[in-house]
Amino acid sequence: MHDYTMPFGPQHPSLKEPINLALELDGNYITGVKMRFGYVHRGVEKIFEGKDVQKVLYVAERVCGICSYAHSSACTRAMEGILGLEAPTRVKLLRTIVAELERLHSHILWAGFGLHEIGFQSMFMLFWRERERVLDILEAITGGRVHHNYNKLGSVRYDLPKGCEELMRKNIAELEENLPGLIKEFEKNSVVLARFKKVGKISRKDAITYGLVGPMARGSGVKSDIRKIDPYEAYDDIRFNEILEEGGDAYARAKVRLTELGESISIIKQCMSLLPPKPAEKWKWPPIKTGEGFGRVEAPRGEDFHYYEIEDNIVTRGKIRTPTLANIMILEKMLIGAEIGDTPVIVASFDPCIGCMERTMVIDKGKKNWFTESEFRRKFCD
Amino acid sequence: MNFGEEAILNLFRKPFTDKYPFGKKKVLDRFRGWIVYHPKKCIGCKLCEKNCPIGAVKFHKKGKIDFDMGLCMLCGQCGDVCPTQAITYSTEFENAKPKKKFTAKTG
Repeated sequence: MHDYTMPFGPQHPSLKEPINLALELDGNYITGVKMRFGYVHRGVEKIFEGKDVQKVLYVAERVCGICSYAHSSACTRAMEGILGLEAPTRVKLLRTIVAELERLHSHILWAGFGLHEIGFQSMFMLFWRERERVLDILEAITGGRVHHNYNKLGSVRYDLPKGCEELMRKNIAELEENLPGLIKEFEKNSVVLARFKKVGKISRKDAITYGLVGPMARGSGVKSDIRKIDPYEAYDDIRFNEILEEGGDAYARAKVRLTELGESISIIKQCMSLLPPKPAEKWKWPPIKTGEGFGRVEAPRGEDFHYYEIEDNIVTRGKIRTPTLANIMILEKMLIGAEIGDTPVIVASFDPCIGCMERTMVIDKGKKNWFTESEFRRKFCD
Repeated sequence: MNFGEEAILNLFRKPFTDKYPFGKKKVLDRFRGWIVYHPKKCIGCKLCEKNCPIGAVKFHKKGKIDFDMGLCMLCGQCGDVCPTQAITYSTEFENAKPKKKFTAKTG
């Protein structure tokens, strides 16, 4: 049989965002992968420069369309560290509730996509029906279903609206009733097991070597939950488990995500019971300071890291390391040796967020295609 | 979950989705839709122009502000900083319009 190269993407039914993989094939097996990115690079870090700290919170949220609140809270954590602000308890609890609701919606969305990749459309629909209940709560609290714009420096935009607690109790009770059945079906369905088990294996050693984060690392038994390692907001006062699986395959990663759904629901319930009766105060203008700092949070996909340098409250440098950027390097290793038909499942098991990941562009000019910072400035910035 | 049982039960259930063009979903109170500008309440402080993260607000004079709704990302900061609530948000979510009409509604 001839060896040939097959393009996978940028437009492909199993990809939600553009990414190009040139798969070198030997019969049915992949022998080499060339990855090409840069289709959705927007230069967010450059847009940050010259903007006020409060404005940057809103722009940072636009990095991603699924884990938008995680970016916002990482940015808030960095900025509050620099400005020396401390949010009150109620605000911290409200932020935790929104963050966990977002984790719920992101993991349910992933479960739908993962099942859609293997052609299991009815489970995909059933999972997404549950997701709608989460989005309704998010809309009631923050006013946005995707981009919430909820965080302010040292505060949040709104307190809980009237009747929201009832809506939350009702929808969360429905989720608790419906999700276990779906998860049980996922665990025992023969189609799911045949497609997900023993596909895309990552050993524990590889997970540590490649520096994986989030469910990718936890699926291989590596502890990587920022909520436990470096607690922020209200996670210090709340009891929850870090979910670890030993399998290291696509199924283990799926199971980590699905088990985290239950943990998220329990965190939300604990936060609701802990809420102090006094409503949150209105937002005030932040103090003016100069400095640098970073913030990291556990986004649904893993550790989200933001770094900022500010000068009199104007951002002069921003840097983001998103979870998919940390995870993507292992994709090549996972694909080599796999069957071509398993590619969508392997890519989906990443829970990739390509829009998040496009942090840098390599400009190919002649022989040289990498530059040091000073060379880059000399060539392109002046 | 038993898929056979679920399929039979679904025959007698109401659809979960909305019949969109005929029956619109009621959006919740906090939903931020198309911006509504009230020129009579405006005091001309320019805070909205200064606070817009992406420069979608252009101040001409008191009572005349251009909102480029094609650029606006509905973050809500202009409404938050307005001292007289001259900027509010409607619950309108069908925002596909010709480019000439990409300006805020006046209320």
